[in-house]
Amino acid sequence: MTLEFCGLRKRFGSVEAVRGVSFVARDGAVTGLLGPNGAGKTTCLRMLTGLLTPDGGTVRVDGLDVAVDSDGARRRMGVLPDARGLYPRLSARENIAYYGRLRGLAGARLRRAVDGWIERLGLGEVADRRVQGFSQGERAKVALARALVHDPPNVVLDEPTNGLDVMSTRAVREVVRMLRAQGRCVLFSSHIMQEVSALCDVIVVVAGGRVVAEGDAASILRAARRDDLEEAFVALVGQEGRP
Amino acid sequence: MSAFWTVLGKELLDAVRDRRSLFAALLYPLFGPILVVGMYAWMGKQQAPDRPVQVVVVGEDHAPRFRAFLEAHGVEFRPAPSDPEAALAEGDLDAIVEIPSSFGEDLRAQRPAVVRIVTNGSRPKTLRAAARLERLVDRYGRGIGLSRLLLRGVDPRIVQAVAPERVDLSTERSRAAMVLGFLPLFVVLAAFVGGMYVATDASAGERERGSLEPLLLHPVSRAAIVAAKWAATSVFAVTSVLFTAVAMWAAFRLLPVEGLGVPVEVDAWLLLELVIVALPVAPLAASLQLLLAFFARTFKEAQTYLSLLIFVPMLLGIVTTADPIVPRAWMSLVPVLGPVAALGAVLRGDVLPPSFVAASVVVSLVLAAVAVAVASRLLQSERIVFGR
Repeated sequence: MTLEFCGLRKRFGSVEAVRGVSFVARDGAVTGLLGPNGAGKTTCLRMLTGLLTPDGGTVRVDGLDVAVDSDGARRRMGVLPDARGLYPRLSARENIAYYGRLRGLAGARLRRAVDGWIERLGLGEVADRRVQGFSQGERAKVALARALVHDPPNVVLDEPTNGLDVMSTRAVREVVRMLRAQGRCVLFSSHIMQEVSALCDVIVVVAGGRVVAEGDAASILRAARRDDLEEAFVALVGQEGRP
Repeated sequence: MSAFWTVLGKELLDAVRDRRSLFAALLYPLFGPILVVGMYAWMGKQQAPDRPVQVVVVGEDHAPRFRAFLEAHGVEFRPAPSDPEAALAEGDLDAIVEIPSSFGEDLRAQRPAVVRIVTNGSRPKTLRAAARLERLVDRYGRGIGLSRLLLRGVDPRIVQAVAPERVDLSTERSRAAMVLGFLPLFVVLAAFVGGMYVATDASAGERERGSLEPLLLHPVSRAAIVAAKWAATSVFAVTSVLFTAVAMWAAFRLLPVEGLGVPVEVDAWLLLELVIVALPVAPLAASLQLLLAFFARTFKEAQTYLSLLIFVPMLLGIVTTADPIVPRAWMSLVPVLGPVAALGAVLRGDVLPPSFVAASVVVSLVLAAVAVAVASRLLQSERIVFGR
């Protein structure tokens, strides 16, 4: 189970957002896509899910070319995208079940899957309340649950801890560790160095639409000739001379 | 196909919990019947049998026979208040009739004898009273004039050189349709108002909430998603049309419009005809609203577009209410105009060729399908999905 990015390019008008990104995320590992805001992370992930069409290059999910069989690729992924709006008039349970149904779950299987995620994320008490009055953390958990409700072999999380407090961030990290332990392929994007180094087996540093470093934390440090990860990150990103 | 039902079910649940959507679909339909029936009641009152004209006569001693004539024709004399002109301004009085002292002398001398009718034009009621008084004065004078001709041995018919003869071919039902003319306007508007909020919420609202991107990540065709949203909007629009029809029927049943001198015949059969003609407008309106709302950049912009869209049936409805049109074959091919013309014809009791109804239904549905297809294409565009 793998996500393969191969020479990916995307341009918006005169801005070249992604200029040849290649890397592979493998199963049983958490791959961290690290980069500052505007580095092209979200654009890469949108091309992975087929919402944006690349100007060049290919993306494959378990060998399926997204451009050729986008539905097949989508079936093999659970995605928490950049936009994660919920339906405020539906309860947490209804929000999660809606996505389960769209994934073809029904009846007892759907109920089991929804209940399982509600329990795992500690949403039991608020599950039947309308999402309207939920806190940021509760919203994030519902969004995460509905992205994973169909038990996907590949998981893509776009800055999942953005705007969350410590407790909610820990809950998200626990889910990521659990997914890795289950042998899934997890791709995780973030702009926070510490989070990526604490959680990821492989780090892909992106800046200015290019991959500037790749490998585990130690090899990133070696590549940047620094002994502190944050220093290394600044050094790597700085090389790109961002606008 | 299962994705279609999933999205439809979710959209309906979501919309039913939205107060604005419910109000639009269920409360708006009451507005039309209340207005039309209220108009009936008002018109009935206006057309009620003539009540006596209330006048004060100044100088009645100068013409006792004229006074008796007026009294015999429904004019009520009131004792003169201290300030008759003030009473006139306040509406206590319809008119003041002034008979000059020269009245009898002028009559005898066969000069036009003047009767002055003082009214207050700012009160429509007094104007009608004055017109009636003028007719009475004319009749009284003509009676005297005719007897003068007869005395001279002249056939009185000589003074009427041309005689108008009015033949009114309208039936009871077609006269009622003049007032009922507002009904098609409300029924067609219901098709547009009923689904308005659902359409906005399911498209521009979905994008603004940030729930469009995750929705599109599913292995589900965009055509199925758009079709389901269209179906949900149509359910609300259709409900609104049906509610308007039923509310209209109930209003005419429950309220005492029959006694007001206006022949109304709003029975279940008429209602069924109305619904058959008007219902296809609902899915058409739903598809156009969804298309426009997906195209809009924001929720607010979508609301603006949809409010402007309502002007189309509103203008058509107002124009055809003011000047009822006869359905011609080509009209059946024009969306919205066909059903509006057909509705008017049904209300007038005209026989409508089934081909006209069939053609206008087909045109509505085909155009709705085209709009849904275009909206699905729009959702393929990166600019539409992520906003511009």
